[in-house]
Amino acid sequence: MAETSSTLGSPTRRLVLQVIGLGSAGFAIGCVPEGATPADDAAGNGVSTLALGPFVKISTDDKVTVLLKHIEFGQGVSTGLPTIVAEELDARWDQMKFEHAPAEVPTYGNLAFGGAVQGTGGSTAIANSWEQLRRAGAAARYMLVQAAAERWGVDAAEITVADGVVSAGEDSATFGELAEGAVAIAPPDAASLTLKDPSTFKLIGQEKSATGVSARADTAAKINGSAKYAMDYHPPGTLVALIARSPKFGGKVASFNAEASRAIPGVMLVRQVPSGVAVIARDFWAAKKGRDAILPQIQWNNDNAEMRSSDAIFEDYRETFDVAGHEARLEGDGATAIGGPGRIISADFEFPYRSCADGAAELRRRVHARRILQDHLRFADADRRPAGRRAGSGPPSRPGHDRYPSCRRILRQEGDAQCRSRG
Amino acid sequence: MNLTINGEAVEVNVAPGDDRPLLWVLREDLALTGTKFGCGVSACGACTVLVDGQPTRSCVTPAATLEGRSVTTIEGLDTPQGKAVQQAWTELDVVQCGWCQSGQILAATALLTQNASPTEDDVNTSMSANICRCATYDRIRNAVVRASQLVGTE
Repeated sequence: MAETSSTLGSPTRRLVLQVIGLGSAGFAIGCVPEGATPADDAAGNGVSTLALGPFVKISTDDKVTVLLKHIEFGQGVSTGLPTIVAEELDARWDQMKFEHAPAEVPTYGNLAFGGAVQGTGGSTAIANSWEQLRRAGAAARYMLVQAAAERWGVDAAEITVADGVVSAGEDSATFGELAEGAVAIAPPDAASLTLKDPSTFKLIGQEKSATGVSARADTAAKINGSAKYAMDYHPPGTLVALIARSPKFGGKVASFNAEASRAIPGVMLVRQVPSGVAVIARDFWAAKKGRDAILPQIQWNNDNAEMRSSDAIFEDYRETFDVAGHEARLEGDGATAIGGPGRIISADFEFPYRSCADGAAELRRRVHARRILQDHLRFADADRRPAGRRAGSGPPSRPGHDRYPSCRRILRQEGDAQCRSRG
Repeated sequence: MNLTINGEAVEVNVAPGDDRPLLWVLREDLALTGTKFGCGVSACGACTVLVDGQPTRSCVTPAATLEGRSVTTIEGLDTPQGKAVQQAWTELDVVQCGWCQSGQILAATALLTQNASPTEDDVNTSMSANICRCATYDRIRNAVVRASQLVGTE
């Protein structure tokens, strides 16, 4: 169990300012011992995990891990992307695992976005990964086959691979048994590999679910509380910051009195940031009380704020119906058709403006002592550069790990109220 | 003070009268992060735990009020009903993003514990306050009914 918040150390002022400079809604800051870098895999169990290219890792315990360059936020990429690799690798589905890739462009760039951006969106994950991951799976298969050929002294052409087993005549070996040999094989030119004929697919396009078994790779962890979301990353010493924001869009802080907020036990720092006033505290509840305490103590400059009510905004929208719109495409004669015989069905659909906090909901940041950003954004690379600029150096590294974006989209104003950083 | 969490007496750094909600004691102090923070105002159900078997919003329940009560979180769910719910959730692949699902599963467990054979209407009534932004409601409803069958066959 984690230590309680009373054990936290004092962050330096400079550190806090660096993190605030990220300009986000809220965050947490923690202190970890030097050298406590995040481990890539569960250590100490005698299992080695070896990378066969940027997308495939094979462990000596015969597990195959696929690195997801896209975030899993319910749409199913943790199932779909490993399926593509498993198919070309001729792996068994039950040996497949996944983890989220670090932020690393162009290696993990979205090819549908030109490859220079690492992002998840627009229903592009499978389409842009399709050939890339097929070739990644085929390349790993090639390396395993070459390793087997060397071990058994046979021609690679005599070797077959099926259901996670590499065979030639009387000899056979699991992927795990061949992993250490495979990692020593020079990776092939992926473009030269021959991919499977889709008519021979055993996993792609096939139902994985048997009776009583989950088809989704992320189900098991998400129904027993073990799935780690970015917001769940909270080691001892983590601080939490919340931002008091303008109640009106576009409002800016004119002045504030931090006295009441600072008086809340656990509040460590109150400071103006571009989006409002940040309250940094030893835990969430202290930060929340500190934020609640300062809200009435902020005077807002509404010179550039949206001052209309929701009703007034809707009224403005309705008036735009009377304005000729932009013609994107014209087919037939709509005006004549509507004026002609037949029944007209008319209905109004009005949706209130609600901050979905879609991207921000996923925003949970951590900055390691050596500046490792731990977050989970749809655009994984997007905040590394500003973070690096604020800290006066290059972009921090951003390890991936199995962290899901935290869904708090049902919130409105506070929907983006937390992300987490460590300094 | 001591809390009973998942069957174990746990000493927590909470003073009598302290208003800090159970949710943050679970998540920040005890590293039981399976219980999620959704709205913080008892409006979404993501933070649902069981207190003496009753679904309870941990985000608005001060931990200090729970001395002598028994708290069950997703990590400690081990009743026949709870296991059946998890099995049904697996069979129907209910989850998408998963953020609300700990709360959904505990709410469903409480329902099945009180009503062994809920109808779809019973599920709707009982669980309408557990919001799912992915809108997995249809599968939740089917999975609760499936879980009731699984409990019945044991």
